[in-house]
Amino acid sequence: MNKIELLAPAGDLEKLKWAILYGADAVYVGGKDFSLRANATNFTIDEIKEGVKFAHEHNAKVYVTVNIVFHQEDFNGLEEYLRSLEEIGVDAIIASDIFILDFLKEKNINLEFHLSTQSCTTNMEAAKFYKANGVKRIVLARECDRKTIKDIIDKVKIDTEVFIHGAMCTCFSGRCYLSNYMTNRDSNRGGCAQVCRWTFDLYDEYKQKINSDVDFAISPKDLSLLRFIPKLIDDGVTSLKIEGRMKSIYYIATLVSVYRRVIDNYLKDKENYKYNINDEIELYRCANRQTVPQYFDKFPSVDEQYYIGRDENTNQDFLGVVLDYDKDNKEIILEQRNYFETGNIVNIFGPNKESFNIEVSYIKTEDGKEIDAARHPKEILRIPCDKIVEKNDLIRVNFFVDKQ
Amino acid sequence: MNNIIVTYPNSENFEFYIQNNIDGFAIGIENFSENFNYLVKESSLKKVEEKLNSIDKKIYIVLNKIFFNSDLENLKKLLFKLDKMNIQAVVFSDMAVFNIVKENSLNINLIWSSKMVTNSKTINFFEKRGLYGFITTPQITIDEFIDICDNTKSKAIIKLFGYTNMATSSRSLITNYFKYIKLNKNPKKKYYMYEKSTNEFYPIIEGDTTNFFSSKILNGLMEYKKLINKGVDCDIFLDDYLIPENNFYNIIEAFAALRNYPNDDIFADKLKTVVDSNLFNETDNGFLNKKTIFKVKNNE
Repeated sequence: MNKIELLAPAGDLEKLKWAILYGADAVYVGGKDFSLRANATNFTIDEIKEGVKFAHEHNAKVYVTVNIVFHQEDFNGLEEYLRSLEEIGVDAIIASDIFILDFLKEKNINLEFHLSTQSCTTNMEAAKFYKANGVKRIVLARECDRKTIKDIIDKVKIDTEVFIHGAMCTCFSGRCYLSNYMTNRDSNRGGCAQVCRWTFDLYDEYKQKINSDVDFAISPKDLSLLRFIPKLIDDGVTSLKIEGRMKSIYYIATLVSVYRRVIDNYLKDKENYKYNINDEIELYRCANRQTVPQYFDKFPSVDEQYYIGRDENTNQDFLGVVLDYDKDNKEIILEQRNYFETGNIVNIFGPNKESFNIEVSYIKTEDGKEIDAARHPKEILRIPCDKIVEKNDLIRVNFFVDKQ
Repeated sequence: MNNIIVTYPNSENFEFYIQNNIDGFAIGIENFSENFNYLVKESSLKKVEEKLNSIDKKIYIVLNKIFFNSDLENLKKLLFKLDKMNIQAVVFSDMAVFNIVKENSLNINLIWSSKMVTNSKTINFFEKRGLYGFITTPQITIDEFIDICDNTKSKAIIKLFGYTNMATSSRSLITNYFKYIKLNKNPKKKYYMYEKSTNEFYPIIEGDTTNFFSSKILNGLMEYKKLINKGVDCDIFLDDYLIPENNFYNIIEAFAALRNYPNDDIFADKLKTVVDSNLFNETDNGFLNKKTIFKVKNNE
């Protein structure tokens, strides 16, 4: 059986735990310094330590992003930081600035080096260079198609990490300074303002506006390689990576559980594996965004772009988190996240279990009072359920086509 | 001595460059380079080499595309050809170039030019592996550049004039948009992306890739005096891409005069006047004197 890693983002310690509980083999996190997404919560050293301990207890790995492109002023504290990561026992760093390879050797710091996608590796020669200089794994540029990925694996024989789901940059990663020029925020040092999500007007060379009601947009649709997971496994990719360190727990849990299931089902029985449309629905409902394979199977064109604004409505599917199960009364004790009412059919999913539906025949408050609807976020409630559920299972709207 | 390098012109008349003591030319090659007004065909390279060698001008071959596996065979052939030619250096962005040259022990000086060229430690990493020189990204300050020069040994080059490439997408973003709005795209490559809140027009050029450029032309020529007075040993690169030919000539001429008398305010004033009259309100000094921020919460 091929070993393949499912790698999930973790914007904070809580998300790290959820990602691992829901089936991630590894998570990537950013520290307070030297990491892109400088405005995310990010991890203190103590939190990384706790995250690594939790991950290792669950046979999972933790990679720490040290992926800014350094300026002269950014070196202070780097040695101490890397030494701390070594002491904590992080499994690798993900860096884009290649000097760190020599820096680790000079300082005798033993950390595995994964080359960030910010380095924009799109070909075998570049991959050979990085391998020869001590890079253990390359996070390939998202512009690579299947053949490029396979050729790099077969001919360079280096571990590869491939993005399988999430937002796409419009431009080559690490080579984009749109944010710097339009907002004065440095994209390569964690300040990216995501200018490629904005809309513009297009003018011709004589500065005459192109006459259209549709704004000029350059934003691509999100990436999903769900359909191609078997191919990626067969091609020998080392790690399948989900994008989104700033995403919610519900998003992380859903994506990880779907991809975990697909990977496991394929590896269990390759010959009889069948693509399940419900997996696709689950991913789509979670993110509310259109996804396409982008560069993987063909060169992207108009169909891979957004022009009418990204459909990013607040997700109302996530109804609650299971806090406990009352075996005596056969009731789920939950924390509410979105509105639901008696009579609704809801879906429950969690780590290592098939999701299932129940009808909400009643809803009780903590003090036993029956109510007709769950209206208040974070309210502790009880609903009936004959099947035993576990802490950290999630309750959502039933949107599946064949699970009525 | 600080050499001046300019982009190779679409002209056979080199008298102007000889008169203004231009030291070298940055040459783009068709299929291997982008963001040049004029690209030399590979088949014409030998002729260009002979011409420039005959007038004692240095040749910098700029291979600045991002390469995919399908490009590698031709790239390798070109580099083997360049190995036999009398050129000063190859300027590259993609590590494929570096690897092919080093793995095959080609006799080519390599100059790294990328948005990643932002610090001395990374340049030192490549120096140890045989780098000849570097062109820093225009998104760093002049003081950062000077600090980098103080902490590196290889040949430093700074771009002090020309539009700045902000980003490159492999997507055909203009073609895609015209398809979406069901209008015919003008065969011309140049468009502008207009950003409402800042009221700025950013040139956007679609060829094999789509390139985004700064709304203003970088004019850091006034920093030359600072570089000289700080004793910085670097070459100066002036880029004519998207700039009208005559305007560019006028600026070269004024800068060439200043170069001989960097501390003479008369020449500095003259250069300023020439820039203003040729490119009124279209220039700024980019990030040379302005740091970018990256931790919004701490800075705002």
